[in-house]
Formats: sequence, structure tokens, C-alpha cells
Amino acid sequence: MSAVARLPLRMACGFYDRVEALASGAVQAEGVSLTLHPPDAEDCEIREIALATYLAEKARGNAADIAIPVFPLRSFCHGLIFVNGSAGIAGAPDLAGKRIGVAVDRDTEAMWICGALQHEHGVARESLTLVDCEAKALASRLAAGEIDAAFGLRLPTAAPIRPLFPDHAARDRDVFEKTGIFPIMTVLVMPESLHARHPWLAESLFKACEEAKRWCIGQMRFSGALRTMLPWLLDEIDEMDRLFGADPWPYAVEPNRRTLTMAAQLLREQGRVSGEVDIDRLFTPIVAWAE
Amino acid sequence: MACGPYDRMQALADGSVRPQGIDLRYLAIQSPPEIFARMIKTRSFDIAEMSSVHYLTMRSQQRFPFVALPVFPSRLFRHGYIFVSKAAGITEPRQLEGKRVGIQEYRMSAALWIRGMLQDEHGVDWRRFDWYEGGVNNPRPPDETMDLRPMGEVSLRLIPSDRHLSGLLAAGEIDAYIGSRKPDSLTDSANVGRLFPDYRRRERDYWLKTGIFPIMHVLVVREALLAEHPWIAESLFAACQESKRLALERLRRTERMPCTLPFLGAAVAEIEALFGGDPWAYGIAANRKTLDALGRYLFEQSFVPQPIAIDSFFAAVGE
Repeated sequence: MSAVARLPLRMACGFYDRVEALASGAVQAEGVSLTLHPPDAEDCEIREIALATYLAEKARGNAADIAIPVFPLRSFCHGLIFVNGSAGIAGAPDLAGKRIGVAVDRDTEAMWICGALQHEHGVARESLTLVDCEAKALASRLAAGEIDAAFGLRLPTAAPIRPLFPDHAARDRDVFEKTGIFPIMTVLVMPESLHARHPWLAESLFKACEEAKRWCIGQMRFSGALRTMLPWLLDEIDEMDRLFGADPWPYAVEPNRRTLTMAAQLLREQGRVSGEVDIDRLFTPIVAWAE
Repeated sequence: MACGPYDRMQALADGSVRPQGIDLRYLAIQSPPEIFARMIKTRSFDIAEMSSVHYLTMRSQQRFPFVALPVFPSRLFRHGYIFVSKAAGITEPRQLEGKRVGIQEYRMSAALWIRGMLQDEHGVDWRRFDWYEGGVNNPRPPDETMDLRPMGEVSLRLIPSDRHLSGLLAAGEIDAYIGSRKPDSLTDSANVGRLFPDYRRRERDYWLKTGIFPIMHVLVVREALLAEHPWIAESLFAACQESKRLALERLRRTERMPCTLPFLGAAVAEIEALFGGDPWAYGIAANRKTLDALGRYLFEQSFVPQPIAIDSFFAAVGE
């Protein structure tokens, strides 16, 4: 296909290693000339948006966008809860009644963390006081004691901030082995109108994203030299393989059904949507891809 | 410039960091042996990643017209890259003495470091190994240009041209194998295991004890270019530092999972605690212990005829 015949598209997405091959051109979507842009870039047909936002919008009947079952950002929960060391929070139950800072644009993260607190630790959502904060101010407000806890800071932390669960990785592993859920934070969407005009497009983008992810994981496995500055990268990968099998970061609905079903359940429990959410109708069908 | 597709070089590769005064064309080539061969056989690049043993050895013999910068594209702990045939009953490092030990390339940097570590940490006399050289998972023909030999006596044989080390290890035809690639037989054969099953803990302890994070590769610059434009050493060094700084900054955004590792946060927290801010230091001073060991091993393992002043092998840059 000539370059002229390719459909020019802009994609707004975080710069993750799993999309790097799309940015560099090492992987190309069939029929598409794709350029990558930062998540807040304007005029992008393909956008990475928060899963909770998307599900809630669809449940309200907003039909402007349709999601491709590609999930650029996912993260386990236990390492995302941080406390001020002098706030008197020793365990999950102590969070009740405390002021918990949440970044305004990260509601999906809060949804998953509240869900984990409720389902794994018996801390009811109603007992938590969430305070909206600017993402950039979270750490400083927590350190200053203006809030007692916060969701979604980065590791490692410096005193007085510490993770609520120092053994977060082991806890996340246990929950995953028990539930099969690896929380999905974001999803790719495109306008329904674009999908209607080019019914081949969603699958083409899906395949490219899948291939870019495989390319990335393949590159990480190279043992001749480390791709990333983690001296034990290869061991991290071995551990990942043991826990997740062939694909640690699955795209498509079927391998993510339990995770997506739980997301819909949490939205209902937390009062974001009423009624049923039909997972299968929220994503463009992927027919050629079977695994 | 030819170097691997590394996070620390990404900004040089995509042009977001430009070394002052240089229009850099970055070729991201994954196979280090390919880059080394193209440097030694055809001198293909002005700037390249290079095997540290190859560079120091050939430079000491004045047959390699390139000068290194104290930039280290590849480093690795290698306790996990000593594999044993279970039939040989090797459970302690010193039991390797007198055994048949397979090796990918006798001169490879990984092998130099593994020999040095076995000697310093476990009192192993690697001179008493019988070495068998060849391809790891595929047969590999010998290469006279690339296969540097030590000056001292060493019992070194090539394996049959139609065999590979992984298969010999599984069959018990060699007793151990060291190198930089996992043998396929580690997963395919019940007869193959690691000398140190708890290698990760050992590597961590080794770092805490010795302060050594083995340097596999250095970055070299064409000598004639450097003679004509002495400033490029400084310019490249600064750009490499800046590129690495940006990569570390990105890696630290653990809440955004820049890297497809589900437990990235824990991994980064561990590295920060162990390495205090920079797990991948460039410069001579920050790598004193590692570089001193590297120079000493080169002499002890007879790649150079007398002790070397390792600092003199690097272009001076403000660190």
C-alpha cells in the first residue's frame, strides 16, 4: 500500500514502552499512518482515556466514542496507597475517617483502590473520606499533614510518606492469584463515527498495539545486555512469566473479562452507574485474533 | 553511533537530546557481538558500544584506533550465568576445578568477570578448568579475528563444529557452562541447573560487599576524530549523562507504569535503596572499585602482559 493511501491518524497516549514501537515505526498498523502524541494533545482521533470515565459515560448513554480493547495502563493497588507516618494509620481499617487525597484526573485508580480496600480488607467505601487534589500537590500536601493518606504517588517514598503496605508486591501477587484481576486504568477510544466509516480500522489498530507490546516484551527478554536500567530486569521477567504465563498485559475482552466485570461492579457499588453494564457491547469486536 | 536499544540511550536515539556540536545518527543495533565485529573488522562507526575486554586488550596492543569514554552501556551481575550439569554433582564453586567448563567466548567480558568473581569471592582457581568454547544454543564457527586469546597457558578446546554448549551440558559431555546467554537446556533438560540457584540474593550481597557492578561494555570514539575535535569527548559524555538522567526520571514514574513489568514499583524501590539514586553511574570516580577490578582481572587472566593504569584508557571528561 502506498503511503498516500494510508489513513493519517493521531493517537494521544502515554509514552509507555509497550507503545514505543508504534512511535518509532518499528510496528505499523495496516492501512494507517499513525503518529503518537502526549495524552493531553488535542485533535487526536485515537485517545487513551480513563476506564472508569469511559464505562460511566457509556452507561449514561453517551455514544460518541467506542473503545478498542487495548489497555495501555494497568496497575495493582496495594503499592498505590500512601500514608503520612504520623497520621496513626497502621493498617487498612485505620483509613476510615481519615482524609485521603486523590488526584482529580485519576478516578479509575481511586475506584480500584477503594474496591480493593472493600473486597480484600473489609473497609467500606462509605467510611473513606476522599479529598480531590491536584496530582502535583498530592505528595507535598501529604508530607505537610494536610491530608493523612493519598492514592497514586510513586515509589519509593521519603519520610514522612510511606506506603501503607510495605509488602505491597506480595499482597498484589496474592490477590492476582486468587482473583485473576490485574486492574485496568486506561483504554483506547475512537469516535463511533470513525469506526462506522472505517470498519476495518479498530482491528488494524488492535493488531498493531498487540504487536508493539509483544515487540517490547521480546526486547526486554534479551539477555545479552539489559534494555532497562534495572539490574535484575531478567529476574523480574522470570517472575512475571511464572505469575502471568504467556502474556502479562493482555488486550482483548476475553482474557480481561474478570477484570472488566469487576470494574463494572465497582462502578455500581460506588454509585457511579446504575443498572447493568454489558461489557461485550462496549468494545469494538476483534474477530481475527484468537488466543 | 552504534549502540543497543537501551533506555539510557533513548534520548540520543530519538534526537530529544543532542550532543553539543554533533549531528548524531544513532543506529540501535541489539546484538552487541554484531557491533563489536563491525568495529573490529570494518571500523564501521565513529562512536560505538564495545566489549570492555576487547577494547582494553586491543588498545593495550595499540591495534584499535578508538578511545573509550567512561560511559558504560551494558553492565550485569553474572552470578546467575553459571550453569552446571547435575550429573557432575557440582554444588560448590571450587568443585568446578578440574572440570570441563563450556564457554561462549573465552575472551568475553562476562567470562572475565565470572572468573574474577569466582576467584575473589570463592577462592576458585579457574586456571584449573578445562575450557570448551563454542556456540551456546547453536553451533558457532570459530572466528580468528574476534576470538582474542590470553597470553598465558590455558586449557582451551573448541567443541565439535556441529554441537552447541547447551546440548553438551544436557548430555553431561561438559560439566558446566558460563557465558552471557541462558542455555535452552536450562528449561528443556532436567539435567541442567544453576550453580547458584539463589543468585539474585548473592548478586545483591556482592554489590553491597564489594561495590562492584560489573561493566560489560564501554563507549568508544574514533581516535582520529577525537584528535581533530578534542571537545567531542566532553560533549558526548554530557549528552550520555543527560540521556540517562531522562531515562531514570521516566523509569521513576512508577505510578504511570512506563515499563511493562507489573511489579515495577517494587523493582524501582529496591534499586533506589541499593544504588542511592543512580544504578548506572558513568565516570571514572563513581566506578573506581569496578574499574580497578576490571584492570586487575585483565592482568591476572593474561589479556595484558603487565598491570595497566586503567584510567589512562579513558578520555578525560569533567565528571
